[in-house]
Amino acid sequence: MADASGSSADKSVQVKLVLLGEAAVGKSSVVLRFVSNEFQANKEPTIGAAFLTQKCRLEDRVLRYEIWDTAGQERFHSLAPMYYRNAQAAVVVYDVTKASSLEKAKTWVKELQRQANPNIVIALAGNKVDLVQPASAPSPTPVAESEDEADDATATPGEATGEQPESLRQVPREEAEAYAQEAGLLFFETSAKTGEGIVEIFTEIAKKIPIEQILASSRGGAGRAGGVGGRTGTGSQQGGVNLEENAAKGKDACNC
Amino acid sequence: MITIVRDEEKTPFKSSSNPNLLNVSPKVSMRRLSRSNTLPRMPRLEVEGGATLDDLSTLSMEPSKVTRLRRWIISLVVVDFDIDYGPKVTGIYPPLQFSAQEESNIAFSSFPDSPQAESGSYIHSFRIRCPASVAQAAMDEITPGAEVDGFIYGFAHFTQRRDPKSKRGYQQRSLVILSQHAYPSLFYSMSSYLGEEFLSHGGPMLEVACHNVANWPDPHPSTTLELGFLGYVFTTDLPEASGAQLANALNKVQAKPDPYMHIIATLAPQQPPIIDALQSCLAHLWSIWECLILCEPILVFGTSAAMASQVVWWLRGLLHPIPLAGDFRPFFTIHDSDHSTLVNCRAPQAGLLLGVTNPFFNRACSHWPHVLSVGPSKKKATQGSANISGGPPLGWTTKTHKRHVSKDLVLLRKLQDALHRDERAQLEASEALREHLTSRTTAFLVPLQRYLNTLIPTHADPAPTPFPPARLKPFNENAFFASLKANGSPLPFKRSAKRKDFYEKWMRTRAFGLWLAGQEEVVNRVLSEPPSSALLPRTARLEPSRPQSARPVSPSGSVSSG
Repeated sequence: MADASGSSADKSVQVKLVLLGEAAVGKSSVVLRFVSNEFQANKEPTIGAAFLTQKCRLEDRVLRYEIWDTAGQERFHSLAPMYYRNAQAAVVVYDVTKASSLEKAKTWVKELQRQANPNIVIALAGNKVDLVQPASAPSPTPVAESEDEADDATATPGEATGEQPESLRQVPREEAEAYAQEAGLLFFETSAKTGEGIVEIFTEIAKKIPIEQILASSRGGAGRAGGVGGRTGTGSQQGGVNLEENAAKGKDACNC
Repeated sequence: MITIVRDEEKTPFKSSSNPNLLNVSPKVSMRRLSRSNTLPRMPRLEVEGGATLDDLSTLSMEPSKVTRLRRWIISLVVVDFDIDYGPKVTGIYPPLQFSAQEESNIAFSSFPDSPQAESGSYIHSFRIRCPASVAQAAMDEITPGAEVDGFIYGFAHFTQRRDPKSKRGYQQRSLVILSQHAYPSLFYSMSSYLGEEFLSHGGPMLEVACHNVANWPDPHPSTTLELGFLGYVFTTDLPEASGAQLANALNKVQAKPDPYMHIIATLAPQQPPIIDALQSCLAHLWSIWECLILCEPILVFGTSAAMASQVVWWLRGLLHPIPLAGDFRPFFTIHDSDHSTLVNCRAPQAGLLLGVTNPFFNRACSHWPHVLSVGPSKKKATQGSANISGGPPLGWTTKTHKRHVSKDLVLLRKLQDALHRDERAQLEASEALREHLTSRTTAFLVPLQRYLNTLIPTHADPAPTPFPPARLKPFNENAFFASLKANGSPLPFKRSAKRKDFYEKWMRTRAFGLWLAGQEEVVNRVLSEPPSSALLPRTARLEPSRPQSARPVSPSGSVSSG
């Protein structure tokens, strides 16, 4: 897998992807898991937006995600269009333990559908699913509990309490999935902490992106993302990715 | 399933590939920039003078982030026109304590020095002596290897627009990027985006911009970096500090299909096309180039701060890879703290390039040998405003210089034709002109390098051990001229006497001494390397387009992970 040659950089397809969602739902953690295969329990709030890239191989093609991880705080809301203009993909994240975060996600989806590139591929991700799973679930990356007082921005309910996991869930999977289907979004429940569902999001987005048209339009010189035609199918759950295997591979190949 | 490719990049930031999905040119001048139609405006479009100050005072940035920011940028400064004081610094983010004089110097340099008739936004730039406070606060944090010269650079996005709430009916404001790096192309691009967004969104924009920059990789010379900024990605070449690699970098860019988002940081901004500003002196460009090489001081008189500063950067760029021997000020005002040092009754400093707009300088510099007055001649004539500016007549005026090298008449005709054509043709002609004059600088050095190569000790020389290390033999003027006579020069000198005269003049300039010292350093460094590299004389060849240091050219390996 790790055979990126110098020439592959030239053939790779650039995909601009933006992450949106309420503060403290785990946007940066999703990116960190995807890009570095790491997790930090108490991550500092993002200011403005962070820019990261990650190269991926999908069958015979190489994609290069240009990821704009935006800030969730309301005062940065008006700046979001800078990041989603010309984006080919968006991941809208909510927190399965916080019902209000799904409502915020819905307003982001509406804004994207109204104002972003009309062919943008949108994925809805219900993060922190590890918190609502039975305690016996194996965790591939055990994280030491932080002694730090979590601030408001990163507070994760229930992390240190002994509540029954399923009782923390405020957003039923069925409800969010039905909304995603109706709105034409890809849908995943994810855990940046365990890695569950993370690679799947980017895989399904990669499959849905009209790569040929991106290549054609960028060859045309203008590279106008808005000119890319797209399909809007319903999101399908794909079980083809073995996350543990992927995570292990990622670690082997990572030369950080 | 996708496979994550992790071996290409150690950190997520760097790559030499081109983000060609982005379709907006960062190099466009302000007038051409259009906001995204989808971008909602703030309910209150006018950000009032006081509001920004309040905004900035509520912004904070962690010290570690400030440190990372200051690898690239010292601070962002807001300058407003105060009816009682004139231009006044009203905000600095992240905070930095300037003395009153330093602050006034920045404020005046950030505003046009001549009346602005039109509303709109313009970018100009300036170079001022590094304030002591900056030296303490920022210079510690500069990446080793970056070129630092005791000056800082300001890139000012000036806006004038109607404001019924103001006493004078106008708001005049500059947002200034202060940096220790001479990267005009990069900072003009940033300034055009940031300036516009700041007008709409106010303080949070500055916070966001600074955090973007704090996430950038280190500014190591000889790297190509991907720099994310406000939703755009700038693929940026940082040439070698000496400028020696510029030629290589330029070739690379030509092969790219999308030049818009690819920035060569040390070049002058490419828009508007430079031939527009230079149209009244196209036929004299070859004389101007000679004066630059010979470190002659030139007063550059522009009809605007934007034009004067763009032309000065452009002229300065023609000197690469010859080391800079004189001072240059893209935009200089009578308020500058160096005013009496640079402009006085004595002869101007050798190599000084002074960009000005204030008619005062026409009189104060009347004893200077060369004046370049730039601007679009036709427009001025039709508007009848040529005399209102009070500056010198448009064109090139020299009291002392006589040309040594022949013009390229084919190129000259092409430039003149392009003036009557569309902007694209003008941009292409401007690029052709820059390439031509840059190649003349390179050609000028060829006989010197040819001679210098004969001074590199070979195996035949009696220096078999590294102690004492082999060194470049001393430069002998007579031997050089013998070599020049025997081998000639690729430059089309009018006569061989002119050729000798030109090189003689250059060898009396400070630039020659700096250039020779640089070449000696490179050769001696290679020669003093451990004996494993026994093929020294081959590898120590001096060519301007070769990397001169051991630092890798590829982006990988030289950027720390962040």
